[in-house]
Amino acid sequence: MDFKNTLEKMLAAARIAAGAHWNVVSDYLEKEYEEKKKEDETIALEVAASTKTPTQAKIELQSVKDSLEDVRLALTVEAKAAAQEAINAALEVLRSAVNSAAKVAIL
Amino acid sequence: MRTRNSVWIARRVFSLLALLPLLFASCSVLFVSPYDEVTDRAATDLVTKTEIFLVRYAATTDETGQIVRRGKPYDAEAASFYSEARGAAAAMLLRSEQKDKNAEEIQIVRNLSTRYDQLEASHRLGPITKTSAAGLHRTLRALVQVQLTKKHIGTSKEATSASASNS
Repeated sequence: MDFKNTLEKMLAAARIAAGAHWNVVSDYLEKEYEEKKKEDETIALEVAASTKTPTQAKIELQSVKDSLEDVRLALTVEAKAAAQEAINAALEVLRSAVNSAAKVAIL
Repeated sequence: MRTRNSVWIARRVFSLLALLPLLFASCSVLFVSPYDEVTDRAATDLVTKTEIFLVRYAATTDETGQIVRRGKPYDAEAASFYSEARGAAAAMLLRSEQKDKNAEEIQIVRNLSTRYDQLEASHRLGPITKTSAAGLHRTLRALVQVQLTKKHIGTSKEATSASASNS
């Protein structure tokens, strides 16, 4: 068994597995923060136009602010999933390498 | 004496070798609870019901914040919707709490109930618009995002296993 080659393959597999998640994280986060900015502006405009009361706006702005915590929680799941997939992909490579070296599927 | 020692060492080596496959077989980590189709479906159903409600009750405004299409004021039907939505969230919470490694989803579902409270509080004070539900929408998107992440892990795990067994 070529340990250096196996280690490189393990790292490559982990990088690919984690990379897919990184794209999701950056798109999702960027989109949510852009939306939040627009929402704050729209609520302010609606109060200025007397479409809603300042008390309503206060409740709604609080809801918008609180909901960012849920974005953080969803991103935490994404980060954990990335770590899980990266480690498991690397272990899968190791398992295949051990099986190949043993010439039998022992793992 | 020397023979007994050799036998003892051989036994230990053999036991370790026999345990090696078990060690590797159990070597996969789990940081996120597995995908649950029932929770995913419940979240999708709640999103649909919420959107139908908002189409009927939320006013539409133009870029200056003026109403272009009137919504409906808070009434008994709206009160019933908010109660049902909170009930659906409570049912989802009950299921989510049964799973390990699921702390984030549990918290999102708890917060979801609060978002319905906040929308209802605003609705009781006056007409709601699409932006009134902005926080609720973000929390629902977060819940759906978690389901997609879990589904992706499940799918890619199956794909990895299939490709590994084919090679």
